[in-house]
Amino acid sequence: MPIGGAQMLRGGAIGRLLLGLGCVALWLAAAPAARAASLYHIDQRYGTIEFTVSNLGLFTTKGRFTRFTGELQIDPDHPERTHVEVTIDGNSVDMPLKDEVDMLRSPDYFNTARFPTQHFISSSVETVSPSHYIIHGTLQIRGVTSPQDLNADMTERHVDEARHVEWADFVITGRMRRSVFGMVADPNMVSDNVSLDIRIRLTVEVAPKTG
Amino acid sequence: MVGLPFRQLLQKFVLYQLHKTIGITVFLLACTQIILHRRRGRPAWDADLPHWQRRAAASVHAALFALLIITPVLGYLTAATAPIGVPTLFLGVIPVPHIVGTSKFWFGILRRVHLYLAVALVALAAGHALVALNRHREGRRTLVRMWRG
Repeated sequence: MPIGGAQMLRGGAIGRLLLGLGCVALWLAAAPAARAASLYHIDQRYGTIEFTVSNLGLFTTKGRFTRFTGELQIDPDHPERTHVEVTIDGNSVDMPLKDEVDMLRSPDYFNTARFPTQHFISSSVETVSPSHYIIHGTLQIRGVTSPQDLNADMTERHVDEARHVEWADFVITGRMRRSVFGMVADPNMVSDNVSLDIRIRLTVEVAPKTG
Repeated sequence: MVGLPFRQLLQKFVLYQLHKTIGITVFLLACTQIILHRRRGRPAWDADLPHWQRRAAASVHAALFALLIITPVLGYLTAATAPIGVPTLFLGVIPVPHIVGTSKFWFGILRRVHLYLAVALVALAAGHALVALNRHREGRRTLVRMWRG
């Protein structure tokens, strides 16, 4: 049973994942078994999705979504075919004030009454380095679909020998313009540019070392 | 500024910043006034003023000074603890650092105390002004002494 992090249904350890995504790992080059694709289920238990806007260029306001689900499919043999899809529950937007939450749910912003969810679907993944990837995809908000690139950095990777678990932390960042999706209200107080900050932890079980 | 609908973001922001600038200015002026008061002493009492009226006046003045200092300080702390996290900008451009972080609990308390003290300050200042005007009309040159010492 997977212990924590995103559940993995099938497939190899994170080491093989990174090989498949371009990391040089000589000992794995000799691995005999066929590397099966790995499917991860992601939700708010394994990470966070936050956004930040600038207000009048004087200060920033942060918010986040507390409910989302997604799937990450990694194909070690064809790393560029790695696929990720995330659906966000728009009504789960979380801000310090209730007035702010109501504003973001309103028709001028996410319009959650009509569009209860937002989607990101990847089309390809580019490997820049063993710990840095660019995810190309599309973002759908308020019924508008627009291309979106995300930068994914693996910030930490750790093998917990005692629990036979290997985990990797990713920080995924991106920038979008809310006007592209028809959110043009309050252009002076709320910046058009929105920074995205997504953190996710992927966990796999590793077989205990024998001998 | 409190009553404005939340969606009028820019208007609310400007009014709150203006309110905070006025508050900081009042605080600085009150500090200056207290320092001057200490150094120059207070104007002399009228010779024919009964003792109980002197004590009452002194109490009101002390209370006014206290409120003039404490109310803006509480206003600053209210702004600092406000969960919305908007910075304080004196004159709209000079950042005033918040020495405490946001706190929903303290914000609720400070906000109310700041409001009550501000109402008390306005009420006391109005009463003080009425009595000073009355005295002046009686021929005591009160306003001149307030201005010139």
